Amino acid sequence: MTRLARHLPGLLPFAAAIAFWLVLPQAIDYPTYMLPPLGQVLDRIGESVMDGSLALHVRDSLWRLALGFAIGNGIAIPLGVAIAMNRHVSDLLRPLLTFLQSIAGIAWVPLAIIWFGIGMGSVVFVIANTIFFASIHNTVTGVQSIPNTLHRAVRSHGGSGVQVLTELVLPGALVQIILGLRTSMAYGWRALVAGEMIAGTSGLGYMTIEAVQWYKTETILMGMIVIGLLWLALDRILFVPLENATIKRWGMIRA
Amino acid sequence: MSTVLAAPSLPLSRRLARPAKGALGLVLFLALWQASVPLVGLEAYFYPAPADVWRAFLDLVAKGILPVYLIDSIGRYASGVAIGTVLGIACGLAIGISRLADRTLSPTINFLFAIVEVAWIPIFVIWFGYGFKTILIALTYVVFFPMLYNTLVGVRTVPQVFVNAALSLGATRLQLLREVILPSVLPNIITGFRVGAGFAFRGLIFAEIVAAKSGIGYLIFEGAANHQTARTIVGMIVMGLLWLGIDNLYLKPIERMTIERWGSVTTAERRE
Amino acid sequence: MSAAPKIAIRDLRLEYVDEERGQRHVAVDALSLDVAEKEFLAVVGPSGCGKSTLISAIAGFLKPRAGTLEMDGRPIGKPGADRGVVFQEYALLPWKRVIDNVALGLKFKGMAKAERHAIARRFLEITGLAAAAEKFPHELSGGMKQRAAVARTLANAPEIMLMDEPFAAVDAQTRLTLQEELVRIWETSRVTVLFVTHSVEEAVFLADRVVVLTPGPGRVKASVPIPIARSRRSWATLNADPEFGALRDRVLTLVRGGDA
Ligand SMILES: Nc1ncnc2c1ncn2[C@@H]1O[C@H](COP(=O)(O)OP(=O)(O)OP(=O)(O)O)[C@@H](O)[C@H]1O
Ligand SMILES: [Mg+2]
Repeated sequence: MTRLARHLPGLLPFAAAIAFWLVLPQAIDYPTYMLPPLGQVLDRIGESVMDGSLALHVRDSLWRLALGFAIGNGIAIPLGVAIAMNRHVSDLLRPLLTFLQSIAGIAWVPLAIIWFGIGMGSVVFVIANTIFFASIHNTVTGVQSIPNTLHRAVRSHGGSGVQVLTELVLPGALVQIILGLRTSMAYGWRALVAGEMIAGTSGLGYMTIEAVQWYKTETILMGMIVIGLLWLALDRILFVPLENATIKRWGMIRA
Repeated sequence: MSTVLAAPSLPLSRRLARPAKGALGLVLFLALWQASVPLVGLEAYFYPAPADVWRAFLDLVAKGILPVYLIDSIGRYASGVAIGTVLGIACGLAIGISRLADRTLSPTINFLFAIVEVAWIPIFVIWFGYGFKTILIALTYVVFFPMLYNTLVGVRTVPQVFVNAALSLGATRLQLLREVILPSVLPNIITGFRVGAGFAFRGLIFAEIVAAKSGIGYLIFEGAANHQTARTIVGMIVMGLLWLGIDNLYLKPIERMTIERWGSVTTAERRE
Repeated sequence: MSAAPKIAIRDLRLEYVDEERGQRHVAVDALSLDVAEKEFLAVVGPSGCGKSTLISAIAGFLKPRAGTLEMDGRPIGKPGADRGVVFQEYALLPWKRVIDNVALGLKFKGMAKAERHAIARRFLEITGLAAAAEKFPHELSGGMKQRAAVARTLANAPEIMLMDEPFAAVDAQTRLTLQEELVRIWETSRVTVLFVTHSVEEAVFLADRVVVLTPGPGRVKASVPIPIARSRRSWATLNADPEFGALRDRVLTLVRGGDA
């Protein structure tokens, strides 16, 4: 009862937006392509679900995201550990990496189109590229934040190089690496949507931007809704449990 | 978030050696790139050499294209960031201070936040057309959320004892806001600003690729579209340098200033 | 105690309510206590008996659930400048210089900068902090911070000063010095004080009267007058003083659960 009362105000803006959306077409005259009636958007969603086209776009997008995520992190984490463990290598590469990181992933799309053509290759390249730079930074920071005394402690107990890696470096950097995974996923998701808009031939980003040309605003709105819901689901399903399982259990969140 | 942690104070020899090695890394990279061009043996538009990029850069400067684009980009960026910052702080304070505003607005904001900013561009194009208005609104949107979020976290973690102290000294609500809450939230606001400024920069490039006819993002896009790949790379490098400049000349110093001035006291008391 | 009391507390009940879980915790129950005008009253009691809670209620941070809480015959409402609080965690604003921290209450009153700085400087001198006026709080030692916090409260000229274990976080040596200084400062300003502490010695050393609370929920167990002349209140004099020793032992027994 009180719980309902507490959540009630939060629903107001949604209710107001929907009411506004319903009333607007009656109240004033404007081209429907600017804001098609709610019913039309719902119809569009229904159609796209029924004919399977929405599922295809979602599948393509998720598949690219997964590929880019695997490639980007698959390179970034081992390389990041290697860089961080060798001071000379990390001194040598850090400015270059900082610079390349500051070239936002999206800016690679045009170049990617030249190299890989429009479509799958370009989009995956941009996602992997974005994820790589977000993740490698976190990995390097994570490894380098392990106190030197711990290194000495493991060594003085007779730990070999490999043991330093498995017993100290990887567990010690894990929290930061997991944070990196999540952050990199957030960047990768943006890169996915943006990449598909510029260089895609399918996927949610492509579906949304393509609709602009034909003024199919109901498809644009559907795209936005799906993009929002899908991200909420991804974050909840993948990362919230992962963080709960590792970071919080070990009390290692550094505020 | 994209900052390398401040290095702990190093011995002088290493502090000097480090940038030297870093520069060496950059030079090596350029040398490898240049040397690989004849080996790869592909067309210049597919794999331009550093020398081609340099010529394209001089050409763009000589024709006056680059300066104009740069000014356009910076203008859009600065306006969007400014508006988004002000709105974000205002909403963050309102939601943080008023429980009613919190309950009313938070669900909407969480929902909107999930729709990444790039996904808004198409509808903005429909509503506002191609060009400045769309870019400005998109950037405002991008900056707004991290600003709001960090301000909110700041307000919620103002140490209660500061608030109590001010109230027992006779502070009115307005005085409380000005003398306690705002200064206490400032470090969070700065964090939010750095994050937002970073997001906005990516947003700017994307928006210029999709919805503009000038600017660095447009240069990157147009170069590729016309097979003037060297121009695209000039655009990418200028963009990287621009961001490093903004970050190092503006954002980091602001952050450092407040931290040094107030000592670690704020963070220590905040931990409570 | 025939004159009307400064603070009158009758059958006070204070509770913490956890809205999320719907639980309530009674911190203070059926507490009655008077604080006389210009009295230095110390409150001691076992940890968790509700001393801080009582201070919060008088300061106005917490509303009574039952009973009455009055100052000068009027119910106590919101926090205000008439009741100054010295917090255990100092609560100096880290972004303000010491002088501006001390002058903060006067700023709230709308006093001009020159005037309020002059007053603040006077109180910094009284508390021995004149040299630290331009520093930021994080540049001060614990003892200096606590002095600054006292100066800030006194500069605001409250009718009563509420002090919640103000010296708990400073080292033993500094603590003795601060206690002696407080005696001296109080001589000059003579404000009503309610002083909460864990330390029985401290309470007996500082106060006109020591009130002992029962374990939580707190109520008054005993009230012990301390008839030691103000002029004799220095550690050099009282350390070996039999009267001080007897009073201290009596209060200590009361706190430990005995009757005396
Ligand atoms: N914010 C709070 N929420 C819920 N319960 C609280 C809160 N603050 C205090 N309490 C409870 O109220 C009771 C009294 O607490 P209070 O802090 O007043 O004790 P105290 O006498 O000041 O103790 P100490 O001498 O350790 O400072 C305790 O049982 C405590 O657990
Ligand atoms: Mg207490």
